[in-house]
Amino acid sequence: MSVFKEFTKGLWKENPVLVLLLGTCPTLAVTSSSLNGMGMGLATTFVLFGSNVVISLIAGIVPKKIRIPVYIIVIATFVTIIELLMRSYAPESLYNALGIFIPLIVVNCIVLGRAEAFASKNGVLSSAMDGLGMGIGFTLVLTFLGMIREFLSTGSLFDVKVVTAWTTDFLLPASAPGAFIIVGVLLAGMNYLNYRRAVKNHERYIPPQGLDCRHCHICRIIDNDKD
Amino acid sequence: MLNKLKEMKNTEKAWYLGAFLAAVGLLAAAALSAANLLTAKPIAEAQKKSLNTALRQVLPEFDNDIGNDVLEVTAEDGSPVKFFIGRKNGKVTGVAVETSDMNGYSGEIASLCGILPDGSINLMLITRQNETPGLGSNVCQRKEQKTIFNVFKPSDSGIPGNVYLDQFKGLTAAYAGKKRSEEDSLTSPWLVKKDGGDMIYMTGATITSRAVARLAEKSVKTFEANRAKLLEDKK
Repeated sequence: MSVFKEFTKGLWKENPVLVLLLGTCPTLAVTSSSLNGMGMGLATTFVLFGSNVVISLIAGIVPKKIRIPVYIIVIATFVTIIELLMRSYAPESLYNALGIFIPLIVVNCIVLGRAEAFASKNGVLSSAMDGLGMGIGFTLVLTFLGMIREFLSTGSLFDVKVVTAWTTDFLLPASAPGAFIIVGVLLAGMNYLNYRRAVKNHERYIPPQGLDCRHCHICRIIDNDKD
Repeated sequence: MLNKLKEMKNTEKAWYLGAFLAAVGLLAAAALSAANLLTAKPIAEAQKKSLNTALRQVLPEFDNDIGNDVLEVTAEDGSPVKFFIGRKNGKVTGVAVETSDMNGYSGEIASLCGILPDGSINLMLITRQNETPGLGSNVCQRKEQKTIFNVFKPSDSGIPGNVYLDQFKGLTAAYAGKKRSEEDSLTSPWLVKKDGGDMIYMTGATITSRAVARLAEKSVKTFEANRAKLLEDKK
């Protein structure tokens, strides 16, 4: 697989939120507005990129028995650095809104998942590209989700009121249950598009491969080959 | 050296695993202390700047080094209260009271309340809150609404209003409430209307409104209790 493909797979084919279904906690919790979603996504991108690079470099010498603690230390270091950077340079309102979810990037499944499933088995360049692609895919979904939720609840996008007549907030999309509903609709839409494309090209619908989904077989139930 | 490390990859020797983890931890600690050293100054500056912006909003003009002109006391309910004293040419122009209330709808609500020398509230700001977006947050935020028609227009100076916070403007510790009728039993004017008080509240965000009213009351009352110490002129 070329380096470019390592980058683009995170955007659509192996999108961390919509295909791998990882990192659902920040996805649902912080996307009540588009700006929060984007801030969270960018912070995670920085951590993913940094940890993927470092882990692909040290993977050769880390003893197998303690690889998970070592990866966690690397990830936690990057998370603390981004937290310090946000406190000094990001707008205060953004840092306050993301709050506890910044330290929680440490236990974000995407970051550890990519370290274990990809960076520890691949070279520096492809790992860096993988981290960047996954991070940007995550950012795009979070921003999009934040835009939908913000628009449906207040009629504004990126804190700018688009529908000026909209004066009363609609609270369902801005709350956690609304987030679940909207993510579900997005997932269904994503699956439908992929399925349609497969049918159009007369291909078998193949669920994403090599994702390390050892316990989950949901993807395999959907099968358009009904013979 | 590198080859030796690679050979040890499958080892189960506890001393080696421990030493490896310790080495990784040390490296991480070194990286973090470097990051901390580099960001310590910008963080302090950012905090000072945001405090200064808030103080300029709640107080009338002042020209002293307000960050160091503070008085810390304990309020009646045991919570810490911090006063920032604004002076112009040595004369007190206003005092900003920083305090917090633990009983918001989701935890702590902190406020900064500007009080004029006569003991009346000039402007109230909520500096920290974690209330429900769209409900409780509307009680706390002074937010200028941008619309597509004025995105690029520079925002006009002045602090955006908030009907729940602006109701405290001009109230003093001696505020007795509006007498509505003879049989009106006003328990305390500082309670929200639902509890028999005088303060308007937001339907659906009563707990937040109560906390905000408590904060305003605490701010003026603690100011009154420490009035003599706060209003001393200083060269």
